[in-house]
Amino acid sequence: MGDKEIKEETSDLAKKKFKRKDFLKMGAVTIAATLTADLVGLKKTSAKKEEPSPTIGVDLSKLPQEIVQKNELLKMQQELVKALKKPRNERKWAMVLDLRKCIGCSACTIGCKAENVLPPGVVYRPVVDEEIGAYPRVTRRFTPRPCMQCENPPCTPVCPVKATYKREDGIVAVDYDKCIGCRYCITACPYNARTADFGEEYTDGTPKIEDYELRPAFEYKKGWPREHGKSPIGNARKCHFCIHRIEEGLLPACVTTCIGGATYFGDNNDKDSLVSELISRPNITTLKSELGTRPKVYYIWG
Amino acid sequence: MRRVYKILWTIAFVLGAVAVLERLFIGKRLVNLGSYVTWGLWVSLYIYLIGLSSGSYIFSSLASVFNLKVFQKLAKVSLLTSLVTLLAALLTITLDLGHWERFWYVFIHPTPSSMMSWMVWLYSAYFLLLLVHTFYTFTKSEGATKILSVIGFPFAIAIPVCGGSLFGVVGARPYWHSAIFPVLFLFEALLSGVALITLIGIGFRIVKQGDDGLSIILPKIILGLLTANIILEGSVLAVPLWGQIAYHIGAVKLVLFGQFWWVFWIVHLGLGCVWPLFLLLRKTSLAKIGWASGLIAFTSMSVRLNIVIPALAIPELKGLENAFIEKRLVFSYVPSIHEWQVVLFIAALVVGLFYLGTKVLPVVEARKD
Repeated sequence: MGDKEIKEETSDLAKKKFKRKDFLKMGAVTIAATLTADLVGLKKTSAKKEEPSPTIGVDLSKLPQEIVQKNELLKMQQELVKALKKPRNERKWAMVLDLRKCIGCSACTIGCKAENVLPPGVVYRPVVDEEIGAYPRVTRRFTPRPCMQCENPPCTPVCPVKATYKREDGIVAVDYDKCIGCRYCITACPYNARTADFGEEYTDGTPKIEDYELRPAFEYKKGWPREHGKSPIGNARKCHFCIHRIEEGLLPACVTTCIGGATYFGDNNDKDSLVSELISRPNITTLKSELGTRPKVYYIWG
Repeated sequence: MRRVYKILWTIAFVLGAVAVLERLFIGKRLVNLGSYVTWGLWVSLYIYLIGLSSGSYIFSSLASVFNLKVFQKLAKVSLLTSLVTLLAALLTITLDLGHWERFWYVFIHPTPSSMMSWMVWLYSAYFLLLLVHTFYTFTKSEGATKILSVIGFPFAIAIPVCGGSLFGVVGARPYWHSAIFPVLFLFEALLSGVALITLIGIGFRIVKQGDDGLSIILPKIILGLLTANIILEGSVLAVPLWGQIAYHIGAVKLVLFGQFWWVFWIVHLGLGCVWPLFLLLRKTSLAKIGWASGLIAFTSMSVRLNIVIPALAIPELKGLENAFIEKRLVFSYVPSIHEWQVVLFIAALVVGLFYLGTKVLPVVEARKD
């Protein structure tokens, strides 16, 4: 074994050691950051509602950039905070789903259900499970289907009261206080990405409707307790990229709960962001692109 | 016999009223609609009643707008039918809204891009016009009635056209997304409206055998409209089938061969088309015309059901039907008892209001002739 080889091996070992050390350090800092963020309740936006303060979100500045850049979740987190420093109309939120990494665990679906306190019949992000091929060459493809946040949404112009609209940052939102519950928008969505809230609970028919079902959802940055006759009961409901989280500097619930790291989120107006990089690749696609809806949810099939 | 009818009506009204109260106080938990098949029986009933209303109104305008005096005797009863069915339609769609108490938002947040907005504005104007028209008709102000008929006629045409457009503009649903829908809705409205007025005319003995030619001309009008409708509906079903694009024919296949195939083949085609054709093409009598009209008027609800539901029962993305399985996340729909009860209430309301109208207003004065 020559000197050169010994040096290389030592270097490999050092790399491995570094990686392990890095990993532990990174994990500890992430947990600490998350806990701190939770304890201080994340710094709220200033009284001027529109423009969030630059100090919003989880502070990753104390982490070595090398670590942040290596971890996609931390990188997206950092990019999110960076994007929030811009005015809303200069951001363009996008999501990329790498189907090669999706294992069909539906953790995103459940994470979303819990985050938005979704009742029976309402789902923002189901995962389509398809069997492809013929025996013995068979495989399964999992396609999470959030709202596509279309650039040309067919659901917004049909709303008779302008309750659903495209925001400056491209997210298609629903004004629960305005929605009359006609469900025309549900019929107009070419992705079946809108659902209706019929006011049911999972624990209906049991001795007690559990408190966790009645806790308020915080969609659109407002508390929505589940009370009979009050919104969002009776409304059309849909995925909104967790506006209430992203504008507080947190990634959408489906991104943080994705155990395969298949869901990417960020500002497509930032050319250096991870999503921009992924979207610029030739293997990127969108669902039903022929409709001209121009979704802001992209897929990597292979 | 009249007592039996009254008892039956009371039972229907009470049973239905219970469901309406449930809807108001419990909400929409008792309906079988879901997030995918999100429109069902009530929306179908609504467009059916709207069709009856505009069809009846157009018929009532024939005498005053086009000076077709032969229809004069039926003008008042047509106007009453139009008003009653419109009231029932508006109540039906209000009950279908998730937040019915906010319906007036349509007026304070005008959205010209939405066909539903146009529909509500048109219906509101039409409703007011009908009220004024009814008032002047029964106070015998002929001049005002004629002017109102001339104004109301295009409204009555626009309403089914707008209703058809509401479905036709939805590009996401290949079954609906067709330029023929506004025309189809207009002809459906005319057919069902004229058929209902003919039935009422015969029932109230306004139309008599050999009387003023009504008994001769009405079956011919119905026959012509029925033929037009068969051609239009045939096009809606046949064109996509011939196109053979799987995504486009899913809903058509459901109509023809799905779980509710009998609604199309037996109720609509058999009872609503073939049998009336058979009755009308042979030497007609008042009884036959009455039967044919009744069959057409009542079974045309099946056309609405087959327009609204199948388009929504096809997943927009393959595999979505199994992606997240819950009761309200399925691509099938059978109305609940609660939904039928509300329909019963609406039917009782229509009958009750019409009966009241005939008692209060001189709609059937021709009977004395």
